[in-house]
Amino acid sequence: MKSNNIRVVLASDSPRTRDVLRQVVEKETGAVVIGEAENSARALNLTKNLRPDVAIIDTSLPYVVGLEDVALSRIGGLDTAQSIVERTPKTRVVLLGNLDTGVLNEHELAGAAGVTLIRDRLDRSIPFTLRELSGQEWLDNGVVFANLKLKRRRTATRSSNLIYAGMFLGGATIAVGWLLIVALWLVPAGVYIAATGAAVLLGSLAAKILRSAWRRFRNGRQPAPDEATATVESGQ
Amino acid sequence: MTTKEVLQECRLFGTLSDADLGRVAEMTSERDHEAGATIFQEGAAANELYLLQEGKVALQMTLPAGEAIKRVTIDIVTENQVFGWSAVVSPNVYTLTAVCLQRSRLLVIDGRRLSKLMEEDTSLGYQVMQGFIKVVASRLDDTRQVLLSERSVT
Repeated sequence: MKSNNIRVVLASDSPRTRDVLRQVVEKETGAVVIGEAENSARALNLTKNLRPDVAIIDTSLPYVVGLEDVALSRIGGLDTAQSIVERTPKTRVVLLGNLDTGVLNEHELAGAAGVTLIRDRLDRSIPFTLRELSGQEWLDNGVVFANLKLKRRRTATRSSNLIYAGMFLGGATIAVGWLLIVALWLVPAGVYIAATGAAVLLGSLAAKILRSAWRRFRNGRQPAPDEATATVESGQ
Repeated sequence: MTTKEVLQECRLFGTLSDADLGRVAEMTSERDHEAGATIFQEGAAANELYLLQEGKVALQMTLPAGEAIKRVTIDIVTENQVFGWSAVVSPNVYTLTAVCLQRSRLLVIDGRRLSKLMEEDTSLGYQVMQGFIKVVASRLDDTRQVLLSERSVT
């Protein structure tokens, strides 16, 4: 084992939670899990004997046994963290507050690569690594109050794209639908306009024919003066 | 969500009428705390009652441990729960220390004004105290179960 490894102890009564935490630790280069505890008493023993660089503690850690549906049986995380700081001051303690809020279910989709440790401050979330813990001034009496956070996943982006595509398609369909509705409303008006236009055209043609016939009848077979002028001009 | 709606979600005030919720809402304000912050210390004067809107808060009791002082968590408060009851119960001194385990948003209720309102309007006071009793009874039941389970292990 290299001397610059970060040695980590994990504590949670849920094997699944410890499994997730182990993955989060092991994705960091040089970080190794050297012990796991299922309750406060064992966590204190492990840290006393192994002197880890970092202890990651679940807020909902039981003192001895965690009871189903009795939240009061899982309140030992903060006390454990404070005791570790007091007994082994060189150990940095990360107290995780949000492991009971569904983050683990989402982790199954994201994988360890999609999970980071953050300090969830009022103004922003600040990601950190286990290696960054040593010598930090922002430790609150040796304890880092932290959360697990999921990074934005690619599948989520694809989902978003699908949603946006659906929204665009839906919007476009609505627009086409409305255009058709408006067009259908205009069909009767169009028919009337076209019929009126056709009547005007036919009327004009009829008027032209009747006028020619009337001129021929009035002037006999003599060409009309304007027609004679037109012939002379075209011969020049 | 309006202040009245926040109060209605809470077990302590859930049975109050809309008008009474409005009267309680008038004596509230919102406050945010960072994770790790101490909201109040054991032994300090209790002037404020708190309703946790977001986050998680540990209530710790101080125990003498030789020359050192050790803190033991008695309960963890989650969303829509009330803590800091000492603000409406004589002698108005906090008996526990409250520490934020996560970034937390609190609805702060003026303890003196609420006590006065409960005294003036006994019907409202009775309903609030009934809510207190339900919460305390539920917590006592949980404590018994934990005690029994830990005694059976040790």
